[in-house]
Amino acid sequence: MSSFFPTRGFLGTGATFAADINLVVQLIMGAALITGLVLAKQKRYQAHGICQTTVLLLNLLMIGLVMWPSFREQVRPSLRKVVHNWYYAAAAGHAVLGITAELLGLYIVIVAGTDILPLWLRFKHWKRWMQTELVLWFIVLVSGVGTYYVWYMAPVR
Amino acid sequence: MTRKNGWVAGLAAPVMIAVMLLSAGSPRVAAIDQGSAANAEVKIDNFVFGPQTLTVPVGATVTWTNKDDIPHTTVSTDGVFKSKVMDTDEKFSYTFTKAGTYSYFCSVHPKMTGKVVVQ
Repeated sequence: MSSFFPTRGFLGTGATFAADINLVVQLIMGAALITGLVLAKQKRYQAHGICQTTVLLLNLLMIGLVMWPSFREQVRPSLRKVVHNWYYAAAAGHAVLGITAELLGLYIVIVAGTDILPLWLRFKHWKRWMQTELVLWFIVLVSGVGTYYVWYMAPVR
Repeated sequence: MTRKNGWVAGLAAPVMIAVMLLSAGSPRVAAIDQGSAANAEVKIDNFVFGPQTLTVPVGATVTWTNKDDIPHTTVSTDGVFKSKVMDTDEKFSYTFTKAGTYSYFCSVHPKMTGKVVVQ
């Protein structure tokens, strides 16, 4: 558990402070991505890029501060239980989907915002890639909320 | 509903689900048991430390055993002792050399609390 944060959460669910702050940040980031989608529809592409990239980088920070330390301490030592225990299955599934979404997002940002990659590594169908990323991100968000429920809310009901 | 609105509504659904889950809240029930021993055991079972309050003499060693199938820790509120994350059937022991009341909790699930009274 990250020592950056106090222990007890503030949402009254029995979760840790880190889990609560992560949930709130993730929900805000979900709302920000919808805002970014609206910006793109309005053809305000620069603002769209800044919005989505900020979310992507902030998520990277949350992975480093909250999700990875929690996964490393609690799930990784018990990976053998993933197939028959929801506590581990939810977190492992969320981790796989989340890493995929984060890497895909970074790839999109690099292609869209820089000229680092050679032509053969760059995509052309922007809309399709970004829509795929957005849908994947929200699947990850749902799985993250599910993990929060399984870890902190279901056990104390 | 237009196609654009449908998209936005679909993406907003997880946020609404989370808000509903959080607003449902959770019950807080704690039964307090008493125990007393020179070397004592505390079982962690079904998200509860049992007994929740344990009275032991100075010098006693208390051993916590995780009987749950998910990880737990035992961490003193005052920072006197701190276990690593315990998997199923893993144990953590601490010897109390000074009298006093030691409150502790699980750092993974902070709602789980217990107390050791050393006399």
